[in-house]
Amino acid sequence: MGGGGPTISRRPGKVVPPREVSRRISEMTREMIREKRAIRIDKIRREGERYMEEVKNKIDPFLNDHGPGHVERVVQNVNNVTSVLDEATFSEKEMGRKVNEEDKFLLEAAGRLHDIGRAMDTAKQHGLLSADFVREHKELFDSEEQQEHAAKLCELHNEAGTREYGTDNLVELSRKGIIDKETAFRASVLRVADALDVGEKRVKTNSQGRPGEEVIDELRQSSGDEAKQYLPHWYGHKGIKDCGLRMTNGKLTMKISLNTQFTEEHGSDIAFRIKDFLRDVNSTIVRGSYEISFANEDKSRIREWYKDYNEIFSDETEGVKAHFVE
Amino acid sequence: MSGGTTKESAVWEYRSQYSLSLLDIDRLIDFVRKIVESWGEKVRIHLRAEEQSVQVPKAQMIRPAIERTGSFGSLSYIAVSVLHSFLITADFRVGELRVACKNEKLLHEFGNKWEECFKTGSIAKDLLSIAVPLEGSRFLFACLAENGSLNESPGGKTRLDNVFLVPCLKELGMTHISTRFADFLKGIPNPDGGWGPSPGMSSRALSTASVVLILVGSGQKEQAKRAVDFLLSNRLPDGSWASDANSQILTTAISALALCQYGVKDDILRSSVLFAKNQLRQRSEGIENDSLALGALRIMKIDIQDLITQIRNRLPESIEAITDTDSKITAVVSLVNLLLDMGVKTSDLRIQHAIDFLINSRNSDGGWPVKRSNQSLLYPTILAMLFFNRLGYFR
Repeated sequence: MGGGGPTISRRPGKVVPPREVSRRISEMTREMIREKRAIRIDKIRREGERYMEEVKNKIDPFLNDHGPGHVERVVQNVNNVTSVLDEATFSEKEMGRKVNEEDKFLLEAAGRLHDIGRAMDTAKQHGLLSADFVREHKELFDSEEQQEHAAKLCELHNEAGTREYGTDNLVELSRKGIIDKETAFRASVLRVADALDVGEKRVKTNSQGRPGEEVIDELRQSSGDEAKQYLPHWYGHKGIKDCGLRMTNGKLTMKISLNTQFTEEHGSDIAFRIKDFLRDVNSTIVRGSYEISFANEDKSRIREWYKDYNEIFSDETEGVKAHFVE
Repeated sequence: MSGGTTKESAVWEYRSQYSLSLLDIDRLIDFVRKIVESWGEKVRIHLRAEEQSVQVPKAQMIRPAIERTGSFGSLSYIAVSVLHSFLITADFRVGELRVACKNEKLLHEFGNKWEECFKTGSIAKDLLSIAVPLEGSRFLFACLAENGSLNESPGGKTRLDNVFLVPCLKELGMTHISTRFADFLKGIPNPDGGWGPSPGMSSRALSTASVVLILVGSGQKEQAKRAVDFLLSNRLPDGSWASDANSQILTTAISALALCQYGVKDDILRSSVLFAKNQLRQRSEGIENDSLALGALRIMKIDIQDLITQIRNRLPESIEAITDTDSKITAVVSLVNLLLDMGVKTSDLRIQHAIDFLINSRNSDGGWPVKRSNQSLLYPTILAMLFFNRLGYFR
């Protein structure tokens, strides 16, 4: 703008050019939207926690954590996976753009509510029940469209919730036009983020907040076969220290750190947890694009474990490069 | 049952895609039981449902474990393994049984054992209400092409003269398929506004009416205007539409229904309805078409009670007469639909007999063929699924 254009003065004597005014207005608007979303997210968080607290006893106590601890980790994972996939240009490839604030809001909202259906009637898949919960809480969202997007993400967050479509594969659903590419991207982020909570933190407590060790002891000491069926799942989680998705030397890498003290006694339980984790990951847009890095303080032990048990998840790692790091 | 065996990096594999249905669960449990008998306690049985994994010590505990963990509808897989020897994965997500082992002889042994259990075991009838919708939707999804066309079979061609049932997918909670198909259809009408039996063929009334039903059913009424004009301008003076002799009643009933759904006034449709009713009274196009034509008239809220009474006399005396292995599945469904129209109860032996026939004719890909042991096709699959829905299996 030349000297002849309109100007706005904030303070006497200080003239702000129109371009700067427009930049500041945009920045203020963005800030207001951010604040509004933060308030919404806080409402969603409180409503989710309140409801979970009310009904948590309906969740099977022998199941690992599906409560607030899991939700917080999924939300953290959602943020991490979003930025990794953005960096790895998945957002550009899938949606033709970078991840925006609305994507982040929807992902956090769905991340906070995705498992709420666990505490409802078990005859229906929990992802569908979580979606119902979202659809019943209009007051938590800015618009019906936003509410529906969040409900869809809850529905698509796991394998079972998508069965009614004929497949749980998000890539196929998007390719055939059943879901749009933005939904496929967001649902992939949530599904991967949920799956990444496969480590020992998942069994620190059960959904009611009871310490995991106590639950394991009870399961171990139970006389019936029925309760003991859950033990391998708990051991499988305990054998995985941590799991994360990152970019390493320009490559998308799934880092799975194992706990050495468990690999010998519970090697196959760990392998089955990894199988399940990879089944979830492979039903998303990430399939076929990542490498796996198995980490442990003792590289030779992890190689041994891999040699002994990798056949359990060999279907899921077909064509995937695996590394071993200390 | 047919499976393929391959050898990859010293591992022998047997894969049989679309060979496994949830209805085979008891056959699978029997198979696992036999494996445990031969291999003893080394065998690990692992299953996943509703994101939860459990390990069961005995084959008999598979069913209760699934029920406790989630539901049969959320069953992901059952894996049976002996470390360093074999891994059998019954993958219910894709309907595939995979056997991987280090020894070719063992692989064949498992293959034979599975086939034996498959032949001698029975279908888990209690899971029908889960398997029919879930596996049916998997088949229908496989028929959906990437461009949105709905093919007759996975990878097959699009036929528009028998897709008039597609709007009924709404009743099965599968609007996503019909909506996607509608999006595809609106882009390909002929210059005269109509549609042919296949895209690019000259326009015919039945195909055009089917497309109108799909478009209107998907809320895209405005896209159907030219097709409606085509139907109205090609109607014969007696109210019917030109067709081959075997399907004129059906063509007329479906075309009238399409116009009615579009919003064409009743008085304009009167001659077409009259034609269809008179023809149904006087002659037959066979049980299948008659039943469909009656269904179309019923949706239009036309009184068909007198027609049903007349058609009753044309029905075969016993359902067994038409449910031999060579029977057309579509004819059986139409017959039992007529029986239900006549007020026959679902507990009636004839209906139960038809249900058994349909279960035994279903392919493991979740679809139904026109005749048993043939390839699954879109039209008989939707027809059979609608029938099971009518009986309350989708609730």
